[in-house]
Amino acid sequence: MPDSASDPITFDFSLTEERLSGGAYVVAVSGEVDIFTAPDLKRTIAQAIEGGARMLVVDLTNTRFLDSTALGVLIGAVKRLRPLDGRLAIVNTEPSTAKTFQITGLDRIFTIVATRDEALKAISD
Amino acid sequence: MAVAIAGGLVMLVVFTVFVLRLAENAVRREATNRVGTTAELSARLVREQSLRVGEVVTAYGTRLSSIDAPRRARLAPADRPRMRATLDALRHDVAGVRSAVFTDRLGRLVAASPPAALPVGTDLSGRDWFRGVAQRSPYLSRAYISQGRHHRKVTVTAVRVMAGGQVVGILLAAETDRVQQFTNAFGREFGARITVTDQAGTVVAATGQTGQRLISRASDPVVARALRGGKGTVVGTVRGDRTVSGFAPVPGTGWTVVAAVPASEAYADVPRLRVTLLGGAGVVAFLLLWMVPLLVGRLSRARDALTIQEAFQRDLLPSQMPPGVRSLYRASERRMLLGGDFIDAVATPDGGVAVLVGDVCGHGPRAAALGATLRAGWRTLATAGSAVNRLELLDALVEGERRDENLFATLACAQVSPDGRTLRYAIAGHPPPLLLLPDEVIPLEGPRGAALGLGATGLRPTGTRELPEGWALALYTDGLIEARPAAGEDRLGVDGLAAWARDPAGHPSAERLIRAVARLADEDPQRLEDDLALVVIDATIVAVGGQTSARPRSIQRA
Repeated sequence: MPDSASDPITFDFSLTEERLSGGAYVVAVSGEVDIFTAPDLKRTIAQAIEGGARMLVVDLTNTRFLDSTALGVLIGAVKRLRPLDGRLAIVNTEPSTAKTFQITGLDRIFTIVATRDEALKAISD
Repeated sequence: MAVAIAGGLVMLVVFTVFVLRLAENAVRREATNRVGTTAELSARLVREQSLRVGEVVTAYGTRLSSIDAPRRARLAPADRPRMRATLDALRHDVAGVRSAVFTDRLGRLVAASPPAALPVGTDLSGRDWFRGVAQRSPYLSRAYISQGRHHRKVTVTAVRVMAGGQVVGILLAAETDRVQQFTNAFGREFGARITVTDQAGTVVAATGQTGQRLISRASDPVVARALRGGKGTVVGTVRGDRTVSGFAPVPGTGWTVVAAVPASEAYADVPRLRVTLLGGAGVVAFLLLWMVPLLVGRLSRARDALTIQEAFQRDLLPSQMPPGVRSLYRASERRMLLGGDFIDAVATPDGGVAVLVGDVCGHGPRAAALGATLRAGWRTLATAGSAVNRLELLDALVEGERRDENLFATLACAQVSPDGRTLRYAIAGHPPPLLLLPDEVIPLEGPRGAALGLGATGLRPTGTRELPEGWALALYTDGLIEARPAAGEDRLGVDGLAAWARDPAGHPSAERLIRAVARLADEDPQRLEDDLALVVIDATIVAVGGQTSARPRSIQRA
């Protein structure tokens, strides 16, 4: 479909979940997270937290775009983990996403690192 | 709506009553005609039977056409055996004939089978058949009680017996049950009470009746009309019951037939029809009373929802822009959801102007309500002279008033001094406003604070710039820079937007920027993934105006 680039519904978006030994839970997001796909991310994170995950890594290495709805989902995750003594780290190397975090000031709230290993280290400290 | 439904119900009732009337009348007419037809058919069958009996008796009479005329009611001895044989044959061979009698031409009894209780020579000329058979032969008599042992009700078929052109006597065949059997069988068949009367209106036979008494129905108006040769139907009360009666004369005999059916049976279709029609009307009434309000309710709720949505959307925008401030707001038609973008512009107490652009993350009523709250809060600050330096109060507003913990908001606001030469601005997690100077476009990246509602504390930074002549400032929401100007192309981005703000020679132009954004917004609203908002302060107008006529309506009124 040639027009797919302008149609967020047909954008490739996928989530992979991984529970690592040591109790960390990794959600890797690829594609674009916007109003149409953010609910999937929200549900996945919520289920992980309900399932007992307290050390959460959201891997945005393959994420090309985050809209404000997606930011809301990440903020919600941080807020849910805080009273549970949980932690969340974000893996990101994509400049536009980094720019979004910087513009909104979320870079001061989230733990944002460049690799998954750094993230695991950050949340288990 | 209640009036419309009441009107609909009244029309329904009137219509139903009208149709019911028409249909009932048609059914009644049809049922009544059926009873009349039953009477006519019965009369014709009685006529057929009497003709046949008449033919048979006439045939037996011809066997006697060679006898000598009786003298003083006595047959010649040579004729007696034939007479006996003929009468016996008539009585035994013809179904329904109970007795056969021969009289001389003056009506005196000559012979009978079985032998008569009356003596030979008894004058029977007083009977109606004696006069009747003189008029026409065969003649069907009136009903009378026989003089025999059983005193049964009988009718007689009388024929003249001719010999050599002379009337030699009268042959009589008396029947008791034939007509009674007919009325029983026919009455059962048609569910009617069939009454057959003779020429005088005396009942010959009636369905289900076995009495051997003579009962006159001559005074019954129905019978009276049939006796006069009339036929038709009437609906009346017979022995307390509504009855549909059909009546007809039996041609050639003077007898009559009346067929009576209780109205409840004749019109049995009417209640069925009524149930069907009223059932139909009931369904319509149900639709009117239940479905219509339901649908109207749904529609009006949907309309209310739209109205609420529009009201919310309106609350996200100022009712009026001060001079020199131009704005563009387009809700994405793609999501069918309330957006969270909000904008405002207001005159400051010192005579300057302040503008605001913000975006509540997320969509729907909660985001829109928070956007409207923030706009009102900022407007209050701005009209008090604190358009850019008290954003921590708006932060507290978000923290305190949001209904969804995940909601947060970004905004950028600016305040221009009355002389149009000093710009103060503040940014809370928002994309950089574009400052259009005479020879360059500068994104105001900092100083910036975090978005509202992230739990940040403390004072928020503000920036200040001295401005040259001919500047303009553009504030917008992320929906604009995240839009794709063409299908398949990259998102516009801050750089792309800055490029839109330059003319081909590279000179910044607020006019060009607004035109380009308007083009994007109007081209294909379906393509917008998000709401977009743009507010531009055009310094030329602000500077030239310089006055505080830019007050919003609310302040002008006060």
